[in-house]
Amino acid sequence: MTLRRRIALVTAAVLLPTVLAIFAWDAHDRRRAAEQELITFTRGLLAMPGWIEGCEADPARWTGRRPTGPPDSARRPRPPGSPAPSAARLRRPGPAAGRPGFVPVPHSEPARFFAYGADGQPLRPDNPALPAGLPDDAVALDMPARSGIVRISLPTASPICARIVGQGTTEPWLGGVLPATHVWLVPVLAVVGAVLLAVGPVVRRIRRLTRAVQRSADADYAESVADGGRDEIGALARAFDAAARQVREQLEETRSREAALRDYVANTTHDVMIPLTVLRGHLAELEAGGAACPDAMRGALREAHYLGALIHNLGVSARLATDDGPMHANPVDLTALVERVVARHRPVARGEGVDLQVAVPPGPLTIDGDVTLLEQAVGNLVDNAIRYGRAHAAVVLDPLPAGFVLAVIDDGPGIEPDAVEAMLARGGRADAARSRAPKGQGLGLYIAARVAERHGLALNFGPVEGGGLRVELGPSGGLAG
Amino acid sequence: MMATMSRCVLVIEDDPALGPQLVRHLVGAGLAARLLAEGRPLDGEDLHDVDLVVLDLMLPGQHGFDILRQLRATSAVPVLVLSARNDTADKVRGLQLGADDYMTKPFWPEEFVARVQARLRRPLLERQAGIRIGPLELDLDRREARLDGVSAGLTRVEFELLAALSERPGAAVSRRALAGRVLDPDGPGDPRTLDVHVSRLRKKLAPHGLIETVWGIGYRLRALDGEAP
Repeated sequence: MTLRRRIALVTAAVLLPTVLAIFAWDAHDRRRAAEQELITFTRGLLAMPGWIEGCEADPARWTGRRPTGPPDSARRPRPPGSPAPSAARLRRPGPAAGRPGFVPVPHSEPARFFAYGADGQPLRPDNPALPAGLPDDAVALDMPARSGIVRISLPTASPICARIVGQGTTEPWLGGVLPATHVWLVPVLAVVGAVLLAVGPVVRRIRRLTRAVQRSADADYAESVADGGRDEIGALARAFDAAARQVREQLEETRSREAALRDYVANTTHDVMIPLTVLRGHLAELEAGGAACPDAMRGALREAHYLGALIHNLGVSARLATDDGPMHANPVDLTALVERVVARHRPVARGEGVDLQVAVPPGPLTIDGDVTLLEQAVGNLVDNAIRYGRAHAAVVLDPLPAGFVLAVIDDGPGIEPDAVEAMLARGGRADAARSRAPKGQGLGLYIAARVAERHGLALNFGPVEGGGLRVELGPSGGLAG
Repeated sequence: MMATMSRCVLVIEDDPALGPQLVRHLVGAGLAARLLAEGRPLDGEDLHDVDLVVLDLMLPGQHGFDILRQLRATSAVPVLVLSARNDTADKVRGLQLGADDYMTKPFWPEEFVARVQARLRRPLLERQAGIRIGPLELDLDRREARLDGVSAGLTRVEFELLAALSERPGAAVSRRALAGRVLDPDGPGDPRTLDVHVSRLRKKLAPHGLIETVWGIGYRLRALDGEAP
């Protein structure tokens, strides 16, 4: 249901009963006033000599007309404000239109009277029948009559014309309410016009807002629907804009996650296929040459290790790229973590001919962090140390008064200070060919740096005496030494 | 090694290749191992003489976490969780449910065996109170070191150095940790000071060559009598 139709229905539902109640009350009030006036008028006639006697003389033809002759106002009592009996009209009181004290009532009729015997039987055949149960000695009101007609019944002292019924006119049922002039239409029309003027723009703005919302939805809620209004509709539009912003953010986040997932699947597929192919090659060599292929065996082991690390790194990388929210921060025992990482890399180090050593505190060294991210970061550093180290790699975890420092050291070629930033960037893997770095996947340091950052830590690089690289994960502020 | 010869490990792994392979690795390392290839509640017979449970999570039947929860209600046997998912929430949940350690697949057989042995050895290490390593005896109360029953005549710093290294024979101790423990914090702080003390200590412990230099880290006391780091 449209707003306009709803407003019209509500207005009608409120106005109609109200108007009908006013009409009914007014009609009843005016009918009662007309009856009282008719009673007073009839009693005046009863007191007039010769009036009831006329009935007694010829009840079968008596109509209540006053005796003929010159008017004598001194002899004929008149009800206050009533006209002469010959022109008797029952009319409503109110401001006069024309002569003072006389207000012509449209379609009014002269008062008529009907006589009845003591037994209640009409004395003329065309007299209306009396209702049953009328009191014998009391004035009766609410006599049955058509609309616009009032009747009253009065007992008399006459044995023949024992009861007189007077009949007069009153205002028509609706005519009693409406003012005599049409001036009343002005304020009514003004009110209706004001309502239409007020409702019309509201309906138009709501329609505009509806169209704007539809356009915004078609444009992924990128368009604002606010119309600058400072009323409730303006507030509704602003509320929709706020909701649309949230929807848009969630849409973007969802799309970003979907894109990251697609990227992850595509990258994983691509990156896994190459080492898998190499691994197949090594296994084929082994099958052909048996145990006499130590190089193929080492290569197969290396590729298998690389595959596992690659998949873990891609997963962590996708998570770091899309998940900026709070980490799964839980107590993490770095001592156990380092021992796990070193144990995992010992076979690789041995295969590469690198002596991997570790030093950890005798007890747990616990921090709050994400164990998966931290373990992946430390694993990447250790993996790099093994890959680039010539003969030695070492992992040292030392507690500090405020925190810890975890150093991963190798005796490899090291890196120039100005190359650190490029190594930490992920851009090296952004080339279309996604070629594999000569000794690794290129994601390791990027992930380690991002994980450090997420934990409020820093990754610092420095040389090793005698040649090599020292990477420290710890508080920011440079190498702890 | 003798301490782990009779140790028994229950491996709960459904993969038909991986499960038997894990058992072979454990047996090859001198441990007894049994394989359970389905997920179901463990009863007393399953756990009879078991010193460690290796529990895979994704099992047909009952999930590994459910097995772990039920196991913890009745037993304190150590549990090493195996998971193919490198997910922090899984690890945290596993540890909260009472797992003692976890490993993420893939892993090397050597790594797996080392983790199992470390977990089995841990209570033994905790029970070690006195320090006697081969020909070396340390009296911590009298702060005296004897080599082959004869006092080595160590200075305070040398004794502290030796005590720090002998707490975990075979394990490397970083230079920072040694310096923080034995050197005067208000001293000159020359990194070579520690090397000088170690050099003097080596001479006093000669000819056994108990103290080894660990590249990039610091020093360690050579493990004797099968002690492993």
